[in-house]
Amino acid sequence: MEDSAALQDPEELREPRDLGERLAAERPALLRFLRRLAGRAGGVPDPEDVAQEVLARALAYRSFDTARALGPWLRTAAVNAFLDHVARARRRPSTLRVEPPDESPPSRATLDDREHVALLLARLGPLERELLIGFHREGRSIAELARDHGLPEGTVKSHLSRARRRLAQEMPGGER
Amino acid sequence: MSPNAEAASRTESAVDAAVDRALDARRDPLADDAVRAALSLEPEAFERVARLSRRLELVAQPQRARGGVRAWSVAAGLVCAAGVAVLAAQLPARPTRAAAAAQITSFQMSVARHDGSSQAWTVNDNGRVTHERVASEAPTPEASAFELLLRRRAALLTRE
Repeated sequence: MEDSAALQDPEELREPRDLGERLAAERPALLRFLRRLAGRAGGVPDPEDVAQEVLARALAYRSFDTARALGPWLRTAAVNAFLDHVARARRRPSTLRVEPPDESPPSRATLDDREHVALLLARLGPLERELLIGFHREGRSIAELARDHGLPEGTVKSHLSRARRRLAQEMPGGER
Repeated sequence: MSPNAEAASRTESAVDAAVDRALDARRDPLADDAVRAALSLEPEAFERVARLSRRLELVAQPQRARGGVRAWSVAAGLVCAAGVAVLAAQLPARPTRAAAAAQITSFQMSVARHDGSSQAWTVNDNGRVTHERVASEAPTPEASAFELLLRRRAALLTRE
């Protein structure tokens, strides 16, 4: 009886090993990338876990074109895996929380966030605030807002974009 | 602007532009392919995108939250008003001072004065009014009026 390995294409035997070695070599960079992605944001998945998951997936992805650069592929896969973790954590926050439980009342964080949002909204110009609230709270379309304010739709989008930038700003004194 | 800062600005704009396109189309930016692709080039932008996403949720929700509080307040107010209305229907109309006194059938009252004297009136069940003065030669006008009221009520009770 012939050795089954002998029937296989030597390229097939070499590829997984090579891919494994390449993945192992990419691991530190992938981890650094995931740590940059996680930043200081709270409640995000552990970069180590995501890196492990991405590398395991990549190793199992037998049809991966070895001629392709591995780094960009891994980063895209890492972003997807990371954001999938975030989305799952949003749906089931209690099952993915690994840090020690917060001692403060749970409503406090939301209250602080609301205060921040109220403050940031107050700092917006009247038109930007009105458009932001009209679009995101009242669910009005850009076309409706443009018509009501007598503005081109592109201008409404620009105002919305500026309002969102300011809404995304960190608060003085640090962001949780 | 340094080349690095310029590059960072360009990639930041790419993430922000992708986020804007997603939000304008009412898609979750964190689930949007273009945003994900941009984040793979500028992972530091994730924190900002996540923060914006969280804050936009709050922009969309406070009306509901405050509305909830208002709804509870209004509901509580209505329940209280209904309760008061029911109680008010069961209770007699708010008595005037005279009417309150007229409803007394058995009552004892004492008045302490500033000068240390006191007066006491007792109306018993059969309508008799007794008055007792302690260390005071004459009743005050208020005490006299009250005594008169009690005596009138006692007279009515006696006739009944």
